[in-house]
Amino acid sequence: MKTWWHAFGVEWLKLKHTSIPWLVLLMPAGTTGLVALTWLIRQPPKVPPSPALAWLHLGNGVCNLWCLLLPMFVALLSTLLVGLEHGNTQWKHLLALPMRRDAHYLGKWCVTMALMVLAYACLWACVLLAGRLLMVSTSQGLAGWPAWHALGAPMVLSLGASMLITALQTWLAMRRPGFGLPIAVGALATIASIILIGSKWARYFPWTLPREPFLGHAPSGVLALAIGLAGGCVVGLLGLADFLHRENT
Amino acid sequence: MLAIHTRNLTRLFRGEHGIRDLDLAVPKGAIYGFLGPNGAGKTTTIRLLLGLLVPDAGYVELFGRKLERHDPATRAGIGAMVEAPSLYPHLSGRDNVEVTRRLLGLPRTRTDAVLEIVGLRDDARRRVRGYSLGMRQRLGIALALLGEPRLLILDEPTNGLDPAGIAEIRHFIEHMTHELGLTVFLSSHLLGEVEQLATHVGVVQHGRLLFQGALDALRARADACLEIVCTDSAAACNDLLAIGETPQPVDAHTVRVTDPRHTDAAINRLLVERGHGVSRLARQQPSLEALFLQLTTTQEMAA
Repeated sequence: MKTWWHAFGVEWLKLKHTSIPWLVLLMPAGTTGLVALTWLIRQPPKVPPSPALAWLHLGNGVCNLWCLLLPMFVALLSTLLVGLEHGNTQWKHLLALPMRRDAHYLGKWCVTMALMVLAYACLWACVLLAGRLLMVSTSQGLAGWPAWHALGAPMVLSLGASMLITALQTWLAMRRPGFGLPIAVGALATIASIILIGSKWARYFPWTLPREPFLGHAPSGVLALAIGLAGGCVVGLLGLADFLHRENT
Repeated sequence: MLAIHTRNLTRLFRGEHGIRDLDLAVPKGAIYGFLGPNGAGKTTTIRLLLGLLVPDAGYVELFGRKLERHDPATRAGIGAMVEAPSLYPHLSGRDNVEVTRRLLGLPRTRTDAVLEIVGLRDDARRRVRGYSLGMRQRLGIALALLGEPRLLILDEPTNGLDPAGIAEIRHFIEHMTHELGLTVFLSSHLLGEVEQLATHVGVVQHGRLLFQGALDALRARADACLEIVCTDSAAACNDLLAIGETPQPVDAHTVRVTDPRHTDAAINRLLVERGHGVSRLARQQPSLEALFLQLTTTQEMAA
C-alpha cells in the first residue's frame, strides 16, 4: 500500500511542465465555451419556461458534447501520461528498482482516474461559470443557481461509468509505446459513439456509457455506473496482470 | 562471497541470438569489466541480472540470494544504469532524482547526497533537456546510487561521450569503488577504459563466455612479446629467423618477437654480434585490446 502511495505521489511530480494539466483544464472549459457560444448566437433565443429548466438545458448541452468528446479525451490523457515512461525509456529504470512492479501500473491507472475526477469537477465549475456569465443577457432564461442534485448526480454517475474506458485506454497505452494505437482506438470509438446514439446498444458500449446518465432515465444511469465500475475493475486487473507478465524493457 | 553468480544462464531470441550457459562469478568489491563486441549479449545479460528479462534456463544469484522477478527484496542493494540513462527531460535534475527517491521511500537528504557525489548540485534546478550528454550520464549514475547500493551495474556508461566525458565517468567509478566500497559490473566495448578500471574481466562473444577472471590472469595467458628497436628491422628479422625465432617487423626499425625461444640477453647478444645497433629491447605486456582480439579471433577461427 505504501509503495503504491509513493508511486501515485510520484505521478503528480512527473506532470510538472507538461501539457497534461492544461488538457484537463482546457478540455472542459473549451466544451462549455462552445455550448455557451451557441446559446449566445442562436436566433431567436429559446427561453426555457423556468430558470431551473434553463440550467438543466445548459448542463445537459455541455455534458452531451463532453460525452461525445470523452473517448478522444481519455485516449489523449492516458497516452500522454504513459508516454512519459515510453518516450524516455523509463521502464527499464523503473522496473529494475527494488520495489513492487504492480505499483507502477496502479500508480498510472489511479492518476488517470484522479485526473478524470478533476476534469469532471472542472466541467461542473465551468457550467456554473458559463451560466452566471450568460445571465448578463436576460434573454437566456437563467437565474439564481441550479439545482445541485440535478446537475451533479448525473455527472457523478457519468464519471463512474467512464472508468471502463479509462481502464481500457490505460491498458492500451501501457501495452504499446507510441500514440498510434491508443489514439486510433479513441478516434474510432468517438465515431462509433456518434453512430450508436439512440441505439439500445449504447447502454452497453463502453464509450457511450458515460452519456447514459444524462438521458434522464434513472435505471440506465445506474446501469451505466455499474457496468463502468465493474468493467473498469476487471479491465484494470487484466491490464495489470498483462503488465506483470510481460517483459517491459 | 560473490556479488553476482549466474549458473547456466540462457536466454535466446529469434534467430538464436542471446546468451547461452553463462556462468558469471563476480567477486564482491571487484570492478568487473564485461566485454564483448556489439551484439555479443552484454545488454541481454544485464537485463537478466536486473530481472527485466526472464531466462529460458539457469538462474541469477545476487549476494547469495536467488533473483526472483516479482520479489523486490532480491533486487535490494542493486543500482543500475542500462544503456542511455532513463530521465524525464521536462523535469529538473533534482526532480528526476526526487522521482526515484520518492518511489524508494528514501529520506530527502539522499537527493542532495547523490547530486553532490556526481557534482550536479549547482545544476540541479536546470531542466534535464538542457544537460550535456556527460551531465545526463552523471545524473543516471546519481539515480543508480540513490538507494546506497552494494552493487552497481552500468551498461556502456561512456557511450557517446567525448574523451573528457569518458575520463570524468572513469573518475566517478574509481571514486565510488574506493570511497563507497561498491562492486561495479561494467559493460563496455571501450577496452582502453576498462583496462584502466577493471580488476576482473569477462569476455563474451556470440552469447558465450570466453574468459572470466582477474585481469592479470588474462594477461598471464598471453606471453609478453619482445620488442626490439634496431637500425634495420628487415636484416634483424633474417638473423632472428636463422636461430629459430618468429620475428615480425613492425616498421623499418622495430621488430616484435612473440614467445621467444631464447632469453632476452641471448637475443640482444646475437644482434649486437651481427652488427645491429640495438637501441631498445624490452618485454611488451599485451594490451587488453590485443588480448580481447586474440580471444575472440581464436574463437571465430575455431567456429
